[in-house]
Amino acid sequence: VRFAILVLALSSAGCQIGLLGVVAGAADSNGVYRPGTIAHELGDGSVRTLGCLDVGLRVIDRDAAWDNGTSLIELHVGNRCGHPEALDFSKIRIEGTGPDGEIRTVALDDPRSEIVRLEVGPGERGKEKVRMNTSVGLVQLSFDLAEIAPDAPHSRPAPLAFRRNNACSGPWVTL
Amino acid sequence: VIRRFLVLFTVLFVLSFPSLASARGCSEVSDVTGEKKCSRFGALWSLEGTTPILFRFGMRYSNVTTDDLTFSADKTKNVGQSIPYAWNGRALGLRSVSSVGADGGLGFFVVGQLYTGLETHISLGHVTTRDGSVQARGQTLRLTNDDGANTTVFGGAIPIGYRIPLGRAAIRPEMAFGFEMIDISHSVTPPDGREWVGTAIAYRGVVEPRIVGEIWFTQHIAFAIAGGINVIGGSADHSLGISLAWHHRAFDGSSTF
Repeated sequence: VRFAILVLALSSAGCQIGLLGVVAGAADSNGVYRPGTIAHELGDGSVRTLGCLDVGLRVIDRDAAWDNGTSLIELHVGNRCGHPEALDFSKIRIEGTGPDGEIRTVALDDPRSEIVRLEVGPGERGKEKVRMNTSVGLVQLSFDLAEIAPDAPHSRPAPLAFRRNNACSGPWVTL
Repeated sequence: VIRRFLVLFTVLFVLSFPSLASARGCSEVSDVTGEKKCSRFGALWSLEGTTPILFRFGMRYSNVTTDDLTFSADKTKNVGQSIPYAWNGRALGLRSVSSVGADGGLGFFVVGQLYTGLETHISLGHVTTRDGSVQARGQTLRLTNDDGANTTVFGGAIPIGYRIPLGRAAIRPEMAFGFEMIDISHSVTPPDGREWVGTAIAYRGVVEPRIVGEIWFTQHIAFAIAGGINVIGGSADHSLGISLAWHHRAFDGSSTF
């Protein structure tokens, strides 16, 4: 009898959670990822396709009063395929260019070491914001994505490059 | 066993909702990696961040053979008496009971596409019984039909199955192990003619091979049609069901075989 009650209780909870999940999922406009969606949103120049993955970047600035106006990378990733595809965003290589043309290596700020190799779910679309450890004063950023898709080792994506459209203060635009 | 199930369920429940952290009273302080309080990088879109668990609800039609069951009732107090009695399902002239109702449950993937879970259903039906007589404590009780939805079927089971992904569809052969409780209300007339409504209950084990067809509406929501036959029940035992399910992991990990 106790086992029957347990089954009833858990299964009933499953029903209710299922109902909530279906309603919430139906209300969520993000369905299965369609190839090209990220390029449509960010522009072709901000997106590269590596195997099954569409990877798009934007560079945005925080408010100057917050964190010294540090720049953030906004990562967009979509899986075109019906199977998981690996993404190792920690392998991205970033180069920054200062106002005098000096080159600086920039790294992702990952205090909890959570940016590791992950499998992007089939048909999934993801978005993350990551802080760069140094970006103040830079006028140009270049992102090499060649190593971030382990399942597409033969991809040779051109680097994504951004620059400030007004010396040191304007917003970041695609080169 | 119950404690282990509860612990397992609690762990799965908590793990399955990193994306709904606010539901647990956690408010994000930032959407920047490393500064998030409630979730981590990839929590919403990676396989590692999502738990292979699903929750479903739906409707079910079932037919349960009753002519080989023994129904029992032990408390009928509306005439101030307690008369335990039992009778074979044939006493009501029924071969089987049909019912329609709700079902649902939860499931989780153990390894790869092999899954198990818990499910339950409760459904209502109506049977028109043939007048029958049963013996109880030396009395002859006459059983007659009770109007309305006079049949309730409640069941619970543990399904074990394997999912074969076929793109936006999937086929899932599965086997369910559980029980069903069949509750029939009927009128009882003892020799003194003072009729009352009695409720008789019978139990049946369930070992039901099923085939489930599934279509994905989104990467997280799937519609399923299921049919099965209870191999340890009577010859007429079968069930059909439709359900919607919310799967925490997109396409349960893969939509290709």
